[in-house]
Amino acid sequence: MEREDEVNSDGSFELVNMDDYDTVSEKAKKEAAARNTDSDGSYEYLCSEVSETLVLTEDTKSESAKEETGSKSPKEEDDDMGLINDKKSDEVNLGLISELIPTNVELDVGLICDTGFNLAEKEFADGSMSDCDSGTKETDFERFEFRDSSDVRVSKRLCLEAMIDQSDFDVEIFPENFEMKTDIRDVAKNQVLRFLPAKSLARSRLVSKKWNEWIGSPFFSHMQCQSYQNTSGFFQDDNATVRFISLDHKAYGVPNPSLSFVPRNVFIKASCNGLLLCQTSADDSEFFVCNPANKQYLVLPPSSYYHGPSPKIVLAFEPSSLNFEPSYQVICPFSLPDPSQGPIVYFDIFDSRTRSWRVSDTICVDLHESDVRSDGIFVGGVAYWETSGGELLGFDLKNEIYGVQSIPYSEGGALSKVYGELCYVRAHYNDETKLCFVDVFSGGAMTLKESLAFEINCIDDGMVVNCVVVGNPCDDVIAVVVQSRWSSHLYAYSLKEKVAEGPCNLRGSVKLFPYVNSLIPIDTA
Amino acid sequence: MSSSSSSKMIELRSSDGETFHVEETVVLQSETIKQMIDDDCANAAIPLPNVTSMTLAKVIEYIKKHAEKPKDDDDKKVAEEDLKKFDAEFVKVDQESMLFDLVRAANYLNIKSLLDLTCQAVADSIKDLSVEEVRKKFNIQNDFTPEEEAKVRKENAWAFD
Repeated sequence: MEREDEVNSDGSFELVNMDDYDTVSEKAKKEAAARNTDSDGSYEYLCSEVSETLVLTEDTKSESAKEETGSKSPKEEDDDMGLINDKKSDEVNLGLISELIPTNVELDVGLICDTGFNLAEKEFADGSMSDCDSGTKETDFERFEFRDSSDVRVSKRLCLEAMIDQSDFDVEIFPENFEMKTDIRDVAKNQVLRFLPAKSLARSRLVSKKWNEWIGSPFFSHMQCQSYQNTSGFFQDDNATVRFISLDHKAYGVPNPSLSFVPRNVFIKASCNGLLLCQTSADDSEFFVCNPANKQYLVLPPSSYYHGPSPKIVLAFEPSSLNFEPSYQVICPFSLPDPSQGPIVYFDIFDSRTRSWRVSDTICVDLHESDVRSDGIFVGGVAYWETSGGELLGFDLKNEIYGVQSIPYSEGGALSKVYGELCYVRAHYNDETKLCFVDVFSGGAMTLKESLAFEINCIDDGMVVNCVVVGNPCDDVIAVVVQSRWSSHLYAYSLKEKVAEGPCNLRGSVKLFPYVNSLIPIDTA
Repeated sequence: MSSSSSSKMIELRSSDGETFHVEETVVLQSETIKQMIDDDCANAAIPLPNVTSMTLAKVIEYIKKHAEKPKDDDDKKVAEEDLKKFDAEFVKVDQESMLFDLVRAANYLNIKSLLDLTCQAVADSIKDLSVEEVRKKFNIQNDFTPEEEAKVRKENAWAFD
């Protein structure tokens, strides 16, 4: 491969790689030379437009970002990925950026050129050109290449025509290495790996150096925590002894399931999309947010308010492509008694972006005789708690407004998320049919939406059986713990697929926390 | 459908020279082809040099199904269920090479939903595999020195139990 490194007059750096196209290469040199004298950027324009077409971007506006990335030395690109993704919208072209990890630079630049010519040639064959936007570029382009032409589209076509003529370009024949762009190995690395859970990924680092480097990059972690959002298992907290119950031992797991990487003795209070919120067992109630897959954690600063002997916490986290740094909140309602009208509930909120607690101006005085009863759940931007009066308290985190409504409360039921919305799920066992019936209530009025059933085969006849549901803020997989006098068994039940996995023998408490085997980084600095 | 007759047809040509006629509204799900149409480069048959006719037929089946619009809200829920079933069946292909071809085609044509669907299917098929099995599946050479390999293995020992 022949590579030309041209330093632009503005000091930026551009790689132009021409493979098998000697004449084209010469032309490029000529153009580059011309550019060096008048610094018009026209060749860059051509290049960037061509690459725009072929890197299959979804965001056509990210052209400037690409130019920027392309003009940095490979060393700097890694950092750039973060910046670009930070700034860009949802549909940032992951494919493109993923091509830019250092080891790939040479290969991909080559491919960009090759494919570029194909597409450009295609334009030529069709006799039509893509739209151009810049008037100044247009003039400059003509000045050194096609003086007689007033239309840059025509000039571009002529230029490409010339390139093709001189290099015996054939419409039907593509360069041999064209296939490389869509080599399954590259597509697997760039597109498939992000759908793998953390344990499979830790193993996959051994596949090759390229995979090892890619899986270890911060940008990959960012992609993975958005693509991989399946429930992988449940953390069980049995009197501050923490263990992980994996739904697939080979694929889902964490290096340190007892959470001993957290410097204090902790028990789990809440989980949300791969993050765990832990609390120290001692009275001082220090909080930690951690990701057991990468053993990163953050100690939350103490709040100025006392949250009561057992705080009712909601951990709010939703992976977003907009934030390279994951941002999460911890919402803790606490109440002050008011003899005349029941408790006044305040909402204390910790925000990872400010690293501090703040009490919301919104106060809730609608709970009458009752109080917040249990730890809550975060669904669709709203934190929900059950109250001791059998009601539901919701707190909209963005608008900081609250609402109270009734729920079809039943012992062992739980709040969960199905089809993206909050629902209340309860379960009961029928000894005759050996079925566990699952009722799903949802909608504004919390009405019965679905009655499902799955088979239970671990209970002897005539046993008195209790069903406890553990809700899930991440996806539709709930845990149903089937307790008899002698044993308790865990079933993972998908409310969407209507498939149960289990039973898994459960020792100890039913304090279970759904967990996603995700690589979400926690900024501890 | 009344709108189908008035919709513009786009011609696609697979690597083995077969041509397919697809409605423009359907084919716009491919960002790559959308870009070509936006750039006014789609007046003649669009050549897809690395998509075989067999793969292209599958891709078209997928995008046609995903272009169907439900009439009302009731229909919408049924359609969603139906689409989910279709997707689940769609990735159940006999041969792994076909699935790989679909991944590559979806990547090349930049059809995000199809890429996610097929990549998820491939990920599901490799998540339980050993390192050697993954290398074999994708024909990847182990380029670690024994020392490097031992180091990476040690760092990730927990994932091998």
